[in-house]
Amino acid sequence: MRHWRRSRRTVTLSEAVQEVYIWLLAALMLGSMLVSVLVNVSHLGDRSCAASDCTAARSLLPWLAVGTALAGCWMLARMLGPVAVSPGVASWLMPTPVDRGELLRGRVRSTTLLGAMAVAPVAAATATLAGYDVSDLLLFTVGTAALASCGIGALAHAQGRARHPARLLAPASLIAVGAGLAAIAASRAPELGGAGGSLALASVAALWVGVVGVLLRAQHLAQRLRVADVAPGGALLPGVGGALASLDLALAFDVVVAHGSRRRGAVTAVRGGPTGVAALMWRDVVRLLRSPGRPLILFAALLVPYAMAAVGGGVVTLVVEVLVCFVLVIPLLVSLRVLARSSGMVRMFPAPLGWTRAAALVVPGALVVAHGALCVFALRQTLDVTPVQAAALGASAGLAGLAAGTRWVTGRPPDYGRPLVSSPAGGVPTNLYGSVLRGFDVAVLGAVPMVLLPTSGGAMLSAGLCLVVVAWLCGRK
Amino acid sequence: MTGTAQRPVLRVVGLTQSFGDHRVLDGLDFEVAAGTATVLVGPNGSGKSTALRCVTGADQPQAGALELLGEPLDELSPTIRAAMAVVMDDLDFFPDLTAIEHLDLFARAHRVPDPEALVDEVLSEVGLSAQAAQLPVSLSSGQRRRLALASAFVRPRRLLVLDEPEQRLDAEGLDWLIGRLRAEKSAGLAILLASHSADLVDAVADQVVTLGRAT
Repeated sequence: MRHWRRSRRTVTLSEAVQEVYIWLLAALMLGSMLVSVLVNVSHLGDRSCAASDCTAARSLLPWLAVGTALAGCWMLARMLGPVAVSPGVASWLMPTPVDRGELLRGRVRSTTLLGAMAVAPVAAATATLAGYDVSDLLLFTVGTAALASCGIGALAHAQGRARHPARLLAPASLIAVGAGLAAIAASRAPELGGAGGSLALASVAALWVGVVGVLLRAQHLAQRLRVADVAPGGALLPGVGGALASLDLALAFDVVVAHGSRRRGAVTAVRGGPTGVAALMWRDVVRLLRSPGRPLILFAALLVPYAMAAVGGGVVTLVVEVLVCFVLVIPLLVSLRVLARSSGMVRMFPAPLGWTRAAALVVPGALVVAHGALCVFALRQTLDVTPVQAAALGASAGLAGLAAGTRWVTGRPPDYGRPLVSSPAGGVPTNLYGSVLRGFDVAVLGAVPMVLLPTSGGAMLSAGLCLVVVAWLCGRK
Repeated sequence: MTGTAQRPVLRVVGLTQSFGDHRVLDGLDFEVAAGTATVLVGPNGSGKSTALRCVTGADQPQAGALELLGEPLDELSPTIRAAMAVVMDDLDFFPDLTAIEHLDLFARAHRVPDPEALVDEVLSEVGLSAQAAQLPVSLSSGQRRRLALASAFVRPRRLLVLDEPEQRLDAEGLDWLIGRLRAEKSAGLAILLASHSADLVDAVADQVVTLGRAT
């Protein structure tokens, strides 16, 4: 046994210690660089952010960022489980008489602590930017980390139960963030200080008692989990992991969408509608009616550019609008994604390739252009432009977001069949690293003319460039 | 060999395709007349799917001429797409549309008169009426194959191109497929398919093109 164990080792102890030393040193160096940047930006904020709206928004920044991070963390946890097992464990161990509680308690604990580790850096970074002092920063970080863990513990308790209030955690967090943004947009944001005080201390202590409770009751929580509760999330991870390993974010999106469809299984079919390529557009309308949350979130996100305008964002408001539209249009482009990723579906339609794909852009495009146009009041507030110019700039920003989203969903996966570039990680396809920036390149292309020339001329130039990009992306084979 | 004096629906002349140094197709010639079925047979790697992919435009052949209804076959042409119904292994599905919504979409995109009646009929014929409201990811592989085949029958077509349509079909499904293809021929359609199923070939083929052994 000793021979078998020792013959399997691939590094010596000294090599392992050297590697650990290098990792620690790199983490310390990079971490200190990051902290230095954050502190410098914080000092810059101290000097430049003097108006009451700006200081109030700055004080809210950590809460908004953490609220968003908590919502993301809890949504991800719900999508995966939060307790999940690999397909191998689901097939080999779950059907055996082994104690489920013992088998899964480690996963409950690690998932709970992972939530804290995911949110803590966001809290620390944004609290630094907001100028919190050290004690407040630590309390804020520790408290929000505990909150994330408690939420995941609650979701673990909710796992496998049809109705549970924990399922409302992520939406509640997003609503709270929305309320904060609305307060900033309306110039009514309170100026929150740091998280100090005895009440805050007591709250953080209570949260950590909750976290300890979750960790201690992990086995009890895990004991009642069924295979059907933990296997689907575990089946999702290899697919997403494989896609992310090749930096193919669109493939990861496909995996997540398919996972969601698998969980739904069946929906009420809606038939009818127009004929020709308009039939594709009608299907997008049906999708919106079936998932009203998506357009709701899109229009609720109007708070973001309005909040940016309220704190004097200037032309940055346009950039923010482009990015908001880019991110939120992607879930609306499922149809285009299917038409772009393989030729099998697109050849089913009796229309030219470009027309078929363009038909899948009409409804999402109308939504984001309307979103941009509705920013007219925000843009008038922060830029010295007429209403017509503001509407043109807003609509062009929406169009730029659509073009960026189109670029993202129609991008091609890394092609390992072509000549590769030599790197320390081995042979790398020429479009591998660029795939991470896919979409942002077009977002920049659309935003730059408006940033440099925030007038109708800049809006038209941006719109023209974006339309050319969309036409090319839809028409290419 | 066409066996008829009519212009063939599909004409393939000198089709040649290679992958690197390996020549898969070398001057393949055949024609498919209306109301007939041509079946490509051969061992794995002999080029059956490659030939179908060249015909449907999924691959660009190195050499050869392809004509559909007397016109050069360009799959970019909407007229060609409207005339050619294809069911290959690469058919994708919209993850958020149900089985019946897929068929409804195709029928309406092709401006079929009375699409609802046709879709209901085809869905019942392929045995997926009970799965009409299910999303494709929740269907079994055999059910997805039936849905793919159904997609070819809810729209107008002059040529039907199928790549191993018998795959993942049960015995009842195969019987249905044979009956359906015979009905398609009787209606004057041309069929080009690749198959490993001796039963299907014997029942449907008017012309068998044997592709060479893989090297």
